[in-house]
Amino acid sequence: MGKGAARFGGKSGFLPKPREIFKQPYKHVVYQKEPDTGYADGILHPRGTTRELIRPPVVTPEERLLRTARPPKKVPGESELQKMAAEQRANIKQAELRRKYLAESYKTEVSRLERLEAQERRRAEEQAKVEQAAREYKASHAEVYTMPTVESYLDGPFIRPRTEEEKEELRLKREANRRARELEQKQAQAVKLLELYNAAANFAVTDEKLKEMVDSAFSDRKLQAVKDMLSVDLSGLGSQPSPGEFDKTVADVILGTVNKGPSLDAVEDTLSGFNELILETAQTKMEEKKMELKLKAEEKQRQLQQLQEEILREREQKTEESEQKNE
Amino acid sequence: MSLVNLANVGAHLQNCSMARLPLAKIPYTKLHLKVALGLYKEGFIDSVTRGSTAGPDLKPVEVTYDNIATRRLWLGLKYRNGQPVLSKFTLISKPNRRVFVSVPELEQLASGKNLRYIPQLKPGEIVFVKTKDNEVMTMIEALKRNLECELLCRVR
Repeated sequence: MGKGAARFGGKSGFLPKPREIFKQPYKHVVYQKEPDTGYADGILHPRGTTRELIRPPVVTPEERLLRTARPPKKVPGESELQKMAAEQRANIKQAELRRKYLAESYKTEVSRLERLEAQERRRAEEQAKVEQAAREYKASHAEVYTMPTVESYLDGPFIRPRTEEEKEELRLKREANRRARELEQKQAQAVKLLELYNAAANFAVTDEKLKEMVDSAFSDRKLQAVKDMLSVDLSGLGSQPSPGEFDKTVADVILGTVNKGPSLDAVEDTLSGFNELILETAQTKMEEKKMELKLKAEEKQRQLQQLQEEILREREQKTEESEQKNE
Repeated sequence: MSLVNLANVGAHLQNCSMARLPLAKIPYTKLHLKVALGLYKEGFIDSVTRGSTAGPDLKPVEVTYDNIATRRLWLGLKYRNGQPVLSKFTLISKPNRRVFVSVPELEQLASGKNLRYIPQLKPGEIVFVKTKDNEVMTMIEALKRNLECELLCRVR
């Protein structure tokens, strides 16, 4: 806060606030009595105090004058004054003047306060008038009747809320999307897991296997393959798979294998019983085919037999006929 | 974000005016609709139509949560003697410096004086304000209604 001019932001020339002449109210005012103030509900107030609001006592200017500069009980006459000493006369005269000026100052203060009150009252009335005009403000007919109808969209909800059916539909759609995404993730995980599982068959888990793999990695055939790979034209790399890779991929797709093991689709088909169903169907078909072939063979055999019998019968007939002619 | 969007709308309208376009599309929000209606009332634009990103609607279309992203307001821009009626649209309140004013301050600005860092209004310039009830109106209307408000933007 500081001292001196520092209290006023380094600026000088600030006068102290004028002392109030009437510290208490100088006239009686009708107050709206506010009952039960100062304490919250349920809180007891101390003994000897009250919950009623006690307003400061009113001291009128006349009372104040009597208190501070009471007129003398006995006013000395002219003859008495003449008899008094000069100093005493001056004191009496000064006391009278002080009393007079004090009364005048009280009067001036009262008129000043009344002027302020009147000002405040006028200001409040004007404010009330402005507020009343604001309350009664209405848009002009021109404004009301020329506004586009698009303004009516501001009255209701800006966006039509979803109906219960639409909400349910949206919920189901979201759930389906979520499940589809989860399934996709799980499938990808399963494919990777199966690849790893199949690849694990070739992992070196014993010393012998490790030694064998190291030997094969540094064999003459392998070194030759590495040399061949290094001699390949680099510009062609990445654009097309090598014939070996291509063949391997095609074989994997056709046979349903990954890393020389069964692929996820093959495993799924087996677990779901699809492969078994296929096998059963194939066996049934095979049995049916066999039965069909057998029946066909039997029919052929029967026809052949009939044919043979007919031929034999014809021969016998011819033989009989020739014998009859000879006779 | 609404003030950022309003600033974008202001810049877009200025650009459209400079390019002498007949129509301008702005996002379909309550604040933008209120400001657009204010511009219409003050004669800066000649039409306010709902529409989509493709163009104004020929038949009324219901606004739902599924099509709100494509909904737009289409404003018809005005030109007189080859000059745009709306040539300047700038924010007063910024997202990080909102300007709330009392009624006496509003009177000060309306009477052609500077207010804080806000330069005095030029002839024909309109200030749009937002009241505590979220109503958008001109500064003069707010004064008539004796309302404290936030100064949104100034247009001329």
